[in-house]
Amino acid sequence: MQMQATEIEQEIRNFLTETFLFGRSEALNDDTPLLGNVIDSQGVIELIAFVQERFTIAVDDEEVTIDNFASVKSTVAFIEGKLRSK
Amino acid sequence: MIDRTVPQHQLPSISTNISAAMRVSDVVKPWADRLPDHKAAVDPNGSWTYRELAGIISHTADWLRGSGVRAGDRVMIVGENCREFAAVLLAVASLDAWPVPVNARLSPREVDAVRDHCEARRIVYTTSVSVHATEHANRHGAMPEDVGDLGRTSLGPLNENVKTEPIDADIGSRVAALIYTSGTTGLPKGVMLTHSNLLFSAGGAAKIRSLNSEDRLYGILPLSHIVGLSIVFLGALLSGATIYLEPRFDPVAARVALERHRITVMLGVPSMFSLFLQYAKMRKLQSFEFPALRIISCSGAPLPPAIKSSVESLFGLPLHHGYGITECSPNVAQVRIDQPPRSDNSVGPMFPGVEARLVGPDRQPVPVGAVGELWVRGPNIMKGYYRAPEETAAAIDAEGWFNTRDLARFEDENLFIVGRTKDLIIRFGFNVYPAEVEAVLNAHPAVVQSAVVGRTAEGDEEILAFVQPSPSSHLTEADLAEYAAKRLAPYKRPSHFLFVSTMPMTPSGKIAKADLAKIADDIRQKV
Repeated sequence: MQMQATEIEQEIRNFLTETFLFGRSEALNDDTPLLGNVIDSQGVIELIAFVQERFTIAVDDEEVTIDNFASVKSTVAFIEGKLRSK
Repeated sequence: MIDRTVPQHQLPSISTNISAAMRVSDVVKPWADRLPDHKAAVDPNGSWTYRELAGIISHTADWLRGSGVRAGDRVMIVGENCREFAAVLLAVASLDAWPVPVNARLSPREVDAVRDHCEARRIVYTTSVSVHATEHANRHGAMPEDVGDLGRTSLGPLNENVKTEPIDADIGSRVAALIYTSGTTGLPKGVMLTHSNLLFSAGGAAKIRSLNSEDRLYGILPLSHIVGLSIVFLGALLSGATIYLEPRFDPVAARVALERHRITVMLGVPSMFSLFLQYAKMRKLQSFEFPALRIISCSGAPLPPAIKSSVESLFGLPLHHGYGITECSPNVAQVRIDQPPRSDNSVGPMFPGVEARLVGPDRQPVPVGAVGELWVRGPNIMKGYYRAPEETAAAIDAEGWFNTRDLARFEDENLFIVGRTKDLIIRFGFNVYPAEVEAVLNAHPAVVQSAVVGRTAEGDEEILAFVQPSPSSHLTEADLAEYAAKRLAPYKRPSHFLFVSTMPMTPSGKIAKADLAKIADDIRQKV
């Protein structure tokens, strides 16, 4: 069954909050820049591994761009797109 | 190992003899004349040829002069690696003003401390690739400006209450960069590096690596960091090579860039190469395919032998190690690329033209092969710490020897760094002085005292903070993490906060950091 955008968003928010923000969910606004800000150098690997495993999709290196992972919103949109094209 | 040494015959290499009358900004023009349409600098938003870069430096210098910048002024450049940052830096230097390159990822507290200490006449914020630079520009009331082909930057208000520094009669002895490191007291410390300092290091390093105009260097080390500035950036431009500037490192983007741009030379810090290993593990890769890549080199922190051999296996290239510090512009020692690859963690022979001596606690030379404190001397040694004559005198003796405060030994002519006599953590290639982190944590109203120690972790050091909270407080790890995040750059923030009811103390009444470091190691599996 296809996941709803709200479910994807909640999963992403939980992952980012627990992995990078010491549980401080209030530090993550809709527009908070992710790559190069919330997500550090090592975090990119953790993000890809999480997204691939949790949503059972393949994320190519070329897709790990500032645009696709600019914010929680764009990350959700990217995952939705991948799920639709599965 | 694959021999990917490029045949050197007929390839243009370092264009000019570096003279005492040369500024760092003079490295561009010879190539603008010789290879005008050759790419000099590339970043995520575009590229400039050598001719374009030369013109933009000149035009930007005019803009700065018109904005009130005088010879002897300090001009801060706040940003992350991009073409604008590079061009503004060289334009400031061309005016005999002092560029003060600052990483935009520093916190407001840290950026303002540098601004106040150097008394910047102007601050230029290169905002095209850096949300952090934009944030600093906004809070300082900077105004966006379109500066011709340089593009859009933000310019902070003119500080009319600053005095210019005297201009040395000898061009090479003028300050070409004022690079701030956090000092042992927790206060910022400005390292004055001259044109001759930087060009000596850049030229020597370029020769060791046989850089030439066909090379494409991955510019991932920050231009605000001495290696990124002198060895990579100036080394590339001295050689007519192309530098691919990246604002920040991640192993995925780096893998794509190395392949897409056919990068030939990459310098990094050990933790970057560790992340390549983690990336390869995630992607289940045994080896990389970068046929153009001929040199990988790292410095900035100790290189564990296991990481070195794994990286060499992954890249199919020797990982050359080097050693340097900001005050030495930075080269002190470097493994040579034309020598057989080493399997140990030596940082190589001394850099050509730099002398070394190892001394004991009595300041007398130690026996051959023994460990001693490393002192160095040569054209690479800084002019001094800005506005800190006592600290300068404590670091450089009357004969020009600089005390690295690192412990080292020689095996034949090869140098090994074995420890430190300074309280320092090296995190992701950046120096972190525990005193600065402790000062920030101790200012929290619910903290009685804190002690910060380093712990080795996968080719890097992580930062642990032992914190003694006030008895009635309900302080949490998240509270402290948030507090630190607002006041410290990401690389200075502790990975873990460990609460203790009392601190172990030495007989002389100091916090027993050696005991804490051991505790940190013992609980490695728990946090």
